[in-house]
Amino acid sequence: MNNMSTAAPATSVRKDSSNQILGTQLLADLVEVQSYYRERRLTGQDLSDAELHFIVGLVRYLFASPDGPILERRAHVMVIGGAGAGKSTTANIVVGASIAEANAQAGYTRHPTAIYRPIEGESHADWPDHLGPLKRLDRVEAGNLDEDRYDISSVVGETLDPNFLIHHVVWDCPDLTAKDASYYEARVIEIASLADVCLYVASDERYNDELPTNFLQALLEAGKPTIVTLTKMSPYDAEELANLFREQVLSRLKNADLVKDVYPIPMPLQVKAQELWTKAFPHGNRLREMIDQITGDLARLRKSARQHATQYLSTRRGRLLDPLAKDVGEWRLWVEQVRRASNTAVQRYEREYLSRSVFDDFQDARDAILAALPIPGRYAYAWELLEYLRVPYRMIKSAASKYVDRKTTGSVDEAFLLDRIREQLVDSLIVTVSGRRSRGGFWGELHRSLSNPKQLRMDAVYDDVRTKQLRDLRTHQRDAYERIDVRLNRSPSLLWGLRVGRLAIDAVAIGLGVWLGYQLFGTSLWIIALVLLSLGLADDLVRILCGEYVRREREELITKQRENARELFRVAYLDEMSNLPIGLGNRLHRMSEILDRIPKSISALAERSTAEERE
Amino acid sequence: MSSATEQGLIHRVQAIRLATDELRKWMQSTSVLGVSDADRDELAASLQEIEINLDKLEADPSVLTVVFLGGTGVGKSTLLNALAAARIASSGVRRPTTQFSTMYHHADVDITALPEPFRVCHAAPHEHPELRQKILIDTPDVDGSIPEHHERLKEILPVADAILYIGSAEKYHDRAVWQLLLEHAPTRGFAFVLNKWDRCLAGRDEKTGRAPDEDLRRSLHEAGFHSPILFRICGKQWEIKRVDGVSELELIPDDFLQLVRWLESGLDERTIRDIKARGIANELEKIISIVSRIIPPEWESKKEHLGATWREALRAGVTDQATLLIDSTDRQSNDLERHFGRLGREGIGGLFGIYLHLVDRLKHLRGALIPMPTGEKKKTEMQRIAAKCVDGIPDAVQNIQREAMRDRLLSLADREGWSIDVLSKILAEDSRERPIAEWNEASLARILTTELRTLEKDYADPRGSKRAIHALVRLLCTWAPLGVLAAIGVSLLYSLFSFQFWGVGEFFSAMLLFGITIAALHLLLVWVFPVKWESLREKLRSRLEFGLLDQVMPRYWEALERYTSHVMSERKLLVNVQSVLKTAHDQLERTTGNSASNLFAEKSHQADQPSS
Repeated sequence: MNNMSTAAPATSVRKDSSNQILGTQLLADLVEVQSYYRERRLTGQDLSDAELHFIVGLVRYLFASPDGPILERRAHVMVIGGAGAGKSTTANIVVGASIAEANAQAGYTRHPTAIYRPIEGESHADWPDHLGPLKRLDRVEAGNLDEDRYDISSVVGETLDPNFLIHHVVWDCPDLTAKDASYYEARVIEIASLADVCLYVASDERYNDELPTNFLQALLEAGKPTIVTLTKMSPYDAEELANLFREQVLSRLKNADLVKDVYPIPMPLQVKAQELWTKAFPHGNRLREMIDQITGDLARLRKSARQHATQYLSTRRGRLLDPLAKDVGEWRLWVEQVRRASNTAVQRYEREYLSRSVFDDFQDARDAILAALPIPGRYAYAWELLEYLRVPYRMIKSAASKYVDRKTTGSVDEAFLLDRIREQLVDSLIVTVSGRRSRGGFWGELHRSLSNPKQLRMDAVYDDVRTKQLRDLRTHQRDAYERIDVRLNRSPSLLWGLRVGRLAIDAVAIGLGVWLGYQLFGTSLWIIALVLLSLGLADDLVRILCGEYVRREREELITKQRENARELFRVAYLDEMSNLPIGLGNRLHRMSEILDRIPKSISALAERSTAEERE
Repeated sequence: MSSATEQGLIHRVQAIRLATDELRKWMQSTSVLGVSDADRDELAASLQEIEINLDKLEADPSVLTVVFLGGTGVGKSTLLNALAAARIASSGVRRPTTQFSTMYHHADVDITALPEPFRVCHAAPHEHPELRQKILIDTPDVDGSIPEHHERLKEILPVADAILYIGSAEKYHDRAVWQLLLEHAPTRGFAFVLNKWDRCLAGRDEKTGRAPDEDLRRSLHEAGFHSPILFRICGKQWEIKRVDGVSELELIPDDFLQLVRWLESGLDERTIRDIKARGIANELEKIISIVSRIIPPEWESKKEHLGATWREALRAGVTDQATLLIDSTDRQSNDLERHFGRLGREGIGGLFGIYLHLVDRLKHLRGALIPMPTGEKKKTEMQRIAAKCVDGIPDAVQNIQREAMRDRLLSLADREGWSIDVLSKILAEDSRERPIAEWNEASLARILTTELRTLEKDYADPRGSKRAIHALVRLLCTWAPLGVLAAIGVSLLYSLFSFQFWGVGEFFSAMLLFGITIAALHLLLVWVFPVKWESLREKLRSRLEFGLLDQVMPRYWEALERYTSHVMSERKLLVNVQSVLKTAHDQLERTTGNSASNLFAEKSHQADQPSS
């Protein structure tokens, strides 16, 4: 590595445009999921905040990568471990100078610091403003203020290997295990997802602790090549400790082949920690050599990282999406319930109102037609005569019909019925939701929303839609009525045609009556009876015809009313209630799309990266 | 421990035990209170802890159990070996080392009498008289990569009266152990050891950062320990000296001997008693606060309120049901009119009776083919009609109404904080036991029949003045036509005898008179015995409403009563338990001294703020 020039490092293939579009979408989706989980406190059971953050970071830096030569052209080395294990000391060893603050306070360092040597023209401004949630800090301050930020430390003076820091960035990170680590572990994880190589630092006390080991496993599964350094033991115990680590820890890890070495850094007696990074010890050179070997072909390293990462994403996908899937599932169940309930409501409306409604308007319309049919003027008295002749038939018929007709049930007040139906709809939903409360938070929240009528908009929306609908309906009704009227008056040929037709029917009736009477009874008074009968029947026929015509309009109106009812319940209840619980329902609506999209994006990325590997 | 104080404690133990047993029994029964799972779990954990404490107290009230707590590799086992001056616990380079707890106790202590968790410990008896009253327990870790260790530690922690928290230069406030500290701080005394003091000293000249012991003190202060008992120790050197017997070892100055002194004489009878009493008192506080959360409010007034609301809703629902029934009768209105018409006609004979019969025949032409029921069939006529009516109501409509009614009542109850699950269970039970109360076809038909019969009775067999009127009208109808006819006959005869034959006009007017009489009488009859269904149905409707309400209201009222009595009995139990525990707690507080106060965290402290 000594013959590498100080020229700018080769461009990496971190960016790839088709990947980037997919990656950016996936990143946006994952960030939404993350903020949803954070608000609803859904992490902590099967999926931890840390795991989620790691996944988001991986997508961000491997697939939707932000711009910048610092990220693209340099290899990033991250130093992590438990509190007090010796991370900062190890970082200094790798850097070859005393840059990182090493002290014994557990949890002293709370922000990651990037250590690098800027090339000609490079400055802090070339660094990204944000690395995920971490803001770039432009002023150098004491290392433990409590914002989410990352620090930059540029090295300009003498170090043991200046070239190393031109091609690499060394990140000194906070620990993972101190009691307050939960506040700053997100910062560690952000850098972990960004890093190309990891330096895992464990002391003789900590080499088999659960938390750091889990973290190491996550790094390996995500495809990060790692060098393990063991610290603080005496030189006599160095080899034994390395063996113990391999036996107890490495043997149980997946992807353990990504651990390139287990390198002990013993602490001899009488030696201070500051001496470890001097020329007196070979550790610095060894570590830098190993790192160079890994990061030599940066493009290839990152390709392989992408492949591992997509595998990691695919295996974690279930765990990642389960809490969301559960919530979306519950929401979908709820929407289904509401749909069923509003269908029942519409059916009830149909059965109890529409099938019984009598449209008085249309009786009038029919009668109006009938009234227009007789020929006015001089021939009106002929009509009057015919009408008199029809009277006995009508009398008998009405008397008979009173005995034969069943009494129909009375009509129902539409508004009253709708109010009862609505009440029942909401009641049944409240009972269902209340019964499901034991199943979890979603139904509990739903119940709270439903029990708070002031916040519900259903009544307001219902009134709005209904008023509009009634207005439309009335207009429609009036129009239909007028249509009938106008049609008759506008077209005199039609009117006269109908009138002549009417007359013709009557004439035929009389003629038929006479002829039939003559045939049956010869010349007798019975002919008159038959003529009366046929006149009456003819009249009935005309009435029925008019009724049929009018009925068509009526049917149209009933269909309109049915559609109105469907729309009414859909808008006022289904749509509104899909947004419940308040603040959550409409969000879940959005999230359900994300839920469907994320697995597709992940498989697409996986395919791409396998294809890439084959090239 | 002095016998007086011993007696006092034991006496209280019994009272506490009784109360906690009650509480345990209650937790196992089905409750109507709707206690959340979180509360239940918390309560169960607290009850378990206090049971162990009481068991220990009964087994041997004078013994103090000190449990070591710390991450893997901090030096717990090394420390125990050093204290015991013997290798009773395994310590070494391999992590984690300790797999099972080791119990260091005096041979006189009867460990078989101690509660369960003690028995899984590896016992290491000794004869040191100074440690007669103390049991020291070395434990596995909570943060290593073997999960069984964590389990074992969590099982042994409840038996601790006091906890010796051990940290090292590197691991003195790690997450995993700190969480346990915060969890147990409210109910146990703590003392602290900062081990690997040699490593702390080695880092003394760093320019930045706090020294571990100072940092630890700060964190403890945040957690509520304002003057903690802290020993800074290098355990390894004492293990080498005391266990391996290297007596000329040059020792780094530390607090080991102070620790020994504290364990031997600092923890005297008084302090031990105070530690125990304080621990129990704090645990009781926990339980009392949970119980106070669970206790339901006064339920009688809620019952009255809901009862009134339900009555209103039931009235509305019953109106709907009545409308449904009435509508169904409309279809049978012909039959009904006929029946009632016949009832009205009874008792009217003579010409008018014949006239009425004829009219009836005409009116019910269609039914003329169906013979009128007589005799026996007359009685069941109402039943038949009612059955036909109810049959005509579509099942779907009936179901919808019933469900709508039930949902309305339940949702009203839910709004006032009743548990719908429990209510519907109670209602379902009732309907199984007394199916009559359920609103099905049979019962509807029955109600309809009853009311129709009442109407019938009122019609045909009325009381009081109505009876008289009916009788009068009947009399009038029977005899009046005859009377008029007789009058006409008389006038005809008279005209015959005076040779003034009646002309067409007279004949006509006589007929007219007769006709008018008949018509007038008919009108009177219709007025007194209304036959038009429109007027009858309104009477029927109001009767139906009352009848339905009467049948249905008691059942729902009873469900409310049952629910209320459940709640009240549970409430009584909980209030009782609460007061017993409160008394015991107050008594303990009063008699507990201050000798152990710096071992306990300050109570009202929120311990999860970050240190700056």
